Amino acid sequence: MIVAVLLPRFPLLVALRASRIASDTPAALGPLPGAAQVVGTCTVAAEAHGVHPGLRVGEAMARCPRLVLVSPDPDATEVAHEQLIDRLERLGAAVEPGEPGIAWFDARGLTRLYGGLDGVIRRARRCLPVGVGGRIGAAPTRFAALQAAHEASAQHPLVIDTETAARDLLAPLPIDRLPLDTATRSQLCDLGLRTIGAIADLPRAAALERLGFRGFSAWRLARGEDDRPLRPRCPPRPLSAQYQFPDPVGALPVLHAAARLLLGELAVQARGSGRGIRAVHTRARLTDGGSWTHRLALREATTDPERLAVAVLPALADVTAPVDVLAIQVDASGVPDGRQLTLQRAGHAEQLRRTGEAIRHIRATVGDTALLRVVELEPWSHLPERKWALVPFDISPHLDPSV
Amino acid sequence: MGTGAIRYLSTPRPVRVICHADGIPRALIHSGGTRRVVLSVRDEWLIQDRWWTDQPVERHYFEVLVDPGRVVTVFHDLREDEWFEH
Repeated sequence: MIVAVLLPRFPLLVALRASRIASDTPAALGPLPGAAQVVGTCTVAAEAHGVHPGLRVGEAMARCPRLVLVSPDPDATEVAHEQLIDRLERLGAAVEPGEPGIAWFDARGLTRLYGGLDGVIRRARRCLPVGVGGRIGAAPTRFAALQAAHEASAQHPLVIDTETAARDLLAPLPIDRLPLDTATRSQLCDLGLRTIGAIADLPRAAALERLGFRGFSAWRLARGEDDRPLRPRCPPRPLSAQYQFPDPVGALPVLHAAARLLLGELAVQARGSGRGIRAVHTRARLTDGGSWTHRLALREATTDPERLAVAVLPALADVTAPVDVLAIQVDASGVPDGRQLTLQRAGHAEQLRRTGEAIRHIRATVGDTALLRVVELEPWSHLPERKWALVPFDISPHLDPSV
Repeated sequence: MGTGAIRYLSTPRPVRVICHADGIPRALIHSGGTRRVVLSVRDEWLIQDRWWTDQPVERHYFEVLVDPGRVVTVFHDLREDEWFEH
């Protein structure tokens, strides 16, 4: 039996909590900088005024003049989602995380521990954050369990025991619940197929012809034939470091310098524990109150700061506003580099290595401020104190070995 | 890793300035009490910047030659009515 946990409107609730706005206010997630000017998830009060996700901001404000647009906070949402997964894993469950606010786990291994399925669900409910209206559904398949959670109330979990009952649950639900692209969905609506039951009643050949291979899997979901097993995550071994800037920083060289320092520190920690870094999660707390995040999985685990920098630094160009705090979290659960050592080092590489060692030695002895370099902040500024800054010297590929 | 590892260059340092009646610097007195007479004013200019923030900047800059022949850039912060040296 698969148990699904659902926190409806989770990113919006996190952003509302961060902005200290009551959840019964007509509010919606505003557009991200540079994205289309449409509203995101809305509160129930906003939906009562006709506002819905995807509506243009101007139209939404016209429909609900009291509408509050809240800045999305993907960083805080990630943190809150991680806390939820962590609490469920502490029950002993092998959890597959979904979108923020969604998670699944298989209850079979826990029923004897907690006195049956009811006991497991009771313990899982205690893991949900207070006041977010979290819902729990259980069903034989992953898709049906999530739909059961959608149909459950905050007070009463919904348990679907059999596959027949699961099909009965799915039949009247709208086809929006199926993983279909917008074009296919509107095409099906035009044909009068508006419920999952109507899709499930299609003959196999007609479904394949009408929906294509991608839609065919949705047809199988509609019939309750969800044979995809759960893919629980391996609990990560996170290492993290953060850098708090004295003033908000928007200059890319400074962000690069800070990121290089953090990556160097994390690489040393990972190497010290005999592990390799498999994934890097970069987060920036922006000065306007929002946040920016970037998640990256490396092709092979490494503890080489230079390779980490090559992978991570380009993404910093997408940061949308000046940064107060830059934080990097890495998953150090990989095996360390298995590269062969060279018998004879190239002269240039040897000089770089020795210089790097010397810099690390000096920094370890005297501190980060022992060796500094100048970076341009705002060279166009009229104010001399905003033009340049000193940041800790890093061992970059531009380092001249003859220095 | 924390605050303080980044250091801005050319940050303004407070300086005491004695002016003529027309506001032109006549002498600089540094924090150690050293007094330097202004021999000449080489240039002066106004800067208004960051007016779109809650910390707008209005400065009257002077590039002065002080005794015994050193060029110093000072400015009068028109909002705070204080003098600084770069």
